[in-house]
Amino acid sequence: MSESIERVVRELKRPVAVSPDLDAKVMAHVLADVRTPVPVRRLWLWPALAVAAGLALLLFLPRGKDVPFTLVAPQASSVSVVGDFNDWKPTPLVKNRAGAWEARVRLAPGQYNYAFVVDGSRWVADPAAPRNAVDDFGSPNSVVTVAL
Amino acid sequence: MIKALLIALLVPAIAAGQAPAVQAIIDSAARAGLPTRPLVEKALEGSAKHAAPDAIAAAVRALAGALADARSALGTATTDELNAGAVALRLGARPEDLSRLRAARSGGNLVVPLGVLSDLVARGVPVDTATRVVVALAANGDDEYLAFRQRVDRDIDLGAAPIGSVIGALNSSGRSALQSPGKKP
Repeated sequence: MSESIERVVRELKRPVAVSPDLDAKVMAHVLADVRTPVPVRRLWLWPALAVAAGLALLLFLPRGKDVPFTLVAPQASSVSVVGDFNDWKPTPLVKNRAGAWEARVRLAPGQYNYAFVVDGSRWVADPAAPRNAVDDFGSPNSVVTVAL
Repeated sequence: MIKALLIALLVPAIAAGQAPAVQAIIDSAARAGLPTRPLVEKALEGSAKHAAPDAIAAAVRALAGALADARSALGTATTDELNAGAVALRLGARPEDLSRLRAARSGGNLVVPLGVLSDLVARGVPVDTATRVVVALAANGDDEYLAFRQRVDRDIDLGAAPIGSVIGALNSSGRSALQSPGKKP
């Protein structure tokens, strides 16, 4: 019993062989751990992205309203609407079952001149809308005002 | 350069004959700080309607002059406000009327009030009356302006005289009569 205790004591007292560059190795590991970026849960990132996306939508989505344009012309073979909002290039209307021609155009707030072109050549002001009393070209326009 | 290209591409009739004249007007307007988009739209309208090049140039020139007058009357204004003001001026409204409306509705957008003014004139309401009405309603919101105009339209469609329909619409909006400019009922 005492012999085994003595053996343990001898073992404990035996000088430990330590590499002379141990300190340097330990410090290298410590520094490496410090420099390694610790993954942080950036919980703020997703709400920030959502807010940024919302702002982008507000900025870049076309503002305004879908404005209906309607002309009752059951005998017409085609009707289009032209105006400030489409650079006076025809936007075709679609004929419904009742013989009325319809289209909806998304317009930003503002005031727009427009007219209908029936069968590709006949210019018609919208009978259901105010007319622009300024008629520069001998073919009256209607006016639509889209509020903010 | 961009404007010239736009005109040349979009307005064949102008490109054929009057491009220099229209382009000069638009360039001059741009140098004066006026919005050029309404002028381009006017040229496009003339082209789409197969108007004579001289008529297109005259219309663009008239609009440019009205835009300049509208800016003088309104001061700082958006393109839409200047455009609406130009139409009102060409219908006979006076620059001081626009200034008064700006003062009465300071901070508010004038597109709808000026649009309603033009609409009323187009329906046969004398321009002086229409101007006084629009100024008198300056405290209202855009929706109320549009509702007012709809009431006038409805009454005219039902056979009322334009001025009578304006008075009727004023009465139903809580105003007993046309007020002197700037006065509240």
